[in-house]
Amino acid sequence: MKNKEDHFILFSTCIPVKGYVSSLIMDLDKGEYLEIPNELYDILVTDHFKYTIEEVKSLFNNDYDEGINQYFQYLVNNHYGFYTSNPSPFQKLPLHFDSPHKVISSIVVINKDSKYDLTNVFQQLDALDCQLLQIRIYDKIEVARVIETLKVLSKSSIRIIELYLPAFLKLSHEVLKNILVDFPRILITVYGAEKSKKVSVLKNSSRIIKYTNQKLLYSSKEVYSKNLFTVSREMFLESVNYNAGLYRKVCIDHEGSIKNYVSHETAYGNIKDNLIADIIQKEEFKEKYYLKNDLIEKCKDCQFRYMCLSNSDIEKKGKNYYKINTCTYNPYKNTWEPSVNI
Amino acid sequence: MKAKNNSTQVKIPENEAIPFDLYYITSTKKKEIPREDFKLEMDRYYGKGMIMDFYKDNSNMFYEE
Amino acid sequence: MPLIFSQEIDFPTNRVFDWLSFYDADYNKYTGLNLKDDFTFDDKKITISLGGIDKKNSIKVKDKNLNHIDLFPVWFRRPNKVSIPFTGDFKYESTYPKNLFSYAIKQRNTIFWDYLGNKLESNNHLGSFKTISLNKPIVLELAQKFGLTIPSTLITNSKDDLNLFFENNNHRIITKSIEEIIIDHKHYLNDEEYLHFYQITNLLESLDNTPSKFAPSLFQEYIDKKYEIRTVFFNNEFYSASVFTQINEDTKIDMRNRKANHFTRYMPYKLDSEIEAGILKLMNHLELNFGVIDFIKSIDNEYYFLEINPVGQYGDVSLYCNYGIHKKIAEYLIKNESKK
Repeated sequence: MKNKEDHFILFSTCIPVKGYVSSLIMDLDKGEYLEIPNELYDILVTDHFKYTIEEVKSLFNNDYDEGINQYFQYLVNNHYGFYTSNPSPFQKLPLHFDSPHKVISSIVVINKDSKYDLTNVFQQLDALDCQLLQIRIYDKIEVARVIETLKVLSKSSIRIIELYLPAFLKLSHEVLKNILVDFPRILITVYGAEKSKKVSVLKNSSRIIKYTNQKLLYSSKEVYSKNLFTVSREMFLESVNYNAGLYRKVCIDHEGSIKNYVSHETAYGNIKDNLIADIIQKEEFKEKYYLKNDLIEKCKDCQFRYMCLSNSDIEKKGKNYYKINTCTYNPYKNTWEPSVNI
Repeated sequence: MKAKNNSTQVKIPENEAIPFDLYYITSTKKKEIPREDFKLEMDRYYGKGMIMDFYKDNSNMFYEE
Repeated sequence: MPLIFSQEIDFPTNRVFDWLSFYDADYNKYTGLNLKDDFTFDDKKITISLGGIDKKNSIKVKDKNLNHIDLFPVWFRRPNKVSIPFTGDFKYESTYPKNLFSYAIKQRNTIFWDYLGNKLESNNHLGSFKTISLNKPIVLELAQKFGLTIPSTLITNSKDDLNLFFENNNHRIITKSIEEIIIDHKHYLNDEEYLHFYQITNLLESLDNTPSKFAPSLFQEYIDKKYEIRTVFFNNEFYSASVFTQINEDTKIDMRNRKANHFTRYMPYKLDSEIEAGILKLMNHLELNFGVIDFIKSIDNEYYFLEINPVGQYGDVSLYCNYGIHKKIAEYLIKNESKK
């Protein structure tokens, strides 16, 4: 199978990522990752287009010959890479990220004091080609009125509308089911429920109503866990170039303030006075788009940095950037501290 | 002719008017994955577009149980 | 304003619309099936004036003046061969057969669609209205003429000649449609299950139990592949991907035979310059500025040209290799807007 003159080439969708003590290969086709030792990472990122396997071995003083043989064979057997005597026609994956959506995601908060024009907000987001919309409802408000305003999105190209409803509204299955039937893009989560459960109410459909006993407060922090990692082509490319949580995200809090994310302190305008399109053009609003994980302390040493979504605000101390809400993973020890449930 | 897993070759009568490749029409029994309700009429496309699929989440507020 | 000829549902078309919207460009889509299209006519008033001494030519649809239509860039993504302009029913009483009469109507009414499609081919355009499928033997012959290697190919209705070809090719040949593959069909057995009818390339390792009589058909030598190459040719640029079909048993002979939950590895690829030169000559000869071209890289390192699909899917190559072709198409259309 392998010849003396062969090179070992990783498929361009299998991406080695280095962490402080442990590395991994992201498999963008499978949507999975493979944990690898840092030594293998160093070997994998040598220029295999230039050096044959034998040359790579000598670059490492022939200290790892057997390991290289075994690992490469493992990677070939499991379709992470291949041997070739002529690597020159194969090209590297271009790493740019281009999105045609002026707004990629948005979160809109509504409570009993919210006085802004919801229909207008939805129309603006639609015009900006928003793809993901999350609507967080607090307080005892008339949900039917909110649902009614969503009708302006019936022919929009928005992909998913997540509706977070408090359990104390005591909306029946029937009411929620009708929302799902009338609005094919809506997914419903009822928070603060007695018991967590998933209820399937539609025949032949994967859409369900989620009930969770977890609470959603204005101060709720985002959760981080291995189960929530996203290994995908676009997520990877976006994270390599931008902050995947905040890039082209625009949020409207309960007062109508326009923010990068609802729990951030800084507001860049208010929906009553400003157009979303104008605010998202401001350099100060866009600043956090570029603060990607590679630039943030701790995250930059974490092997999960291109699959982890975080909307946390970022603060600058001295010359360094830090996430305000960080995770419980410690990349310097490769351990997860026990997570604290909110 | 070969029949792999649940695929069968469609039986075609032998005739000099029928090209050879048409003796190799396969039929496979498949399970419908309900996808039609994920295709919606959208103004931007003058036709149907996909909903419910996107490469990332908006925010992670709840632990998956 | 770019005009796009496409199907009811075509996701690459949608992605290009996303980009046109991003650049705040107006656009219009024509399927030939939608009576709201400018170019289909149901009860719409359509008037074309041509000729005379003053040569005052004009096109009007519903009193909308389309005289400046020649300024619009056009993308013939997947143009329909025919439009369905008439829904009207009428009582027919004559001894001239109704089917012949209906045929005559259909032929006449298609002319308008054809007129526009052909007329728009002289605009700045991508793709082609006339050429949406190609004659395989002609293209193979041309490819060879322009220096590309093609697999040893036989077109015959003789079983004897087929037998000989089979003997000469190590008892391994493939049968392939000489035209396009058949149109897929789903035959529902119940709410959840259906029979899927489709056609893929088949490997023949024996000619026993194969028909003895058949119409002229296309056969090719079976080539042991290292991988396949799919090249998107667009505006004189090449966007190539090596497709590792040999990893999965299912896709070894035909990459379309992929199970729904399986994936295929794609890798950005650069064809040899002499191969690219060959394609360039071939595409120029065919007057095509867009096409999806398939090659095989054989285990003995030869590139075999297989075919060109002028309306082929390019989304996989664009996505897996991050070539951004949708964006480039949108930019091409915007750039090629003619000025009055």
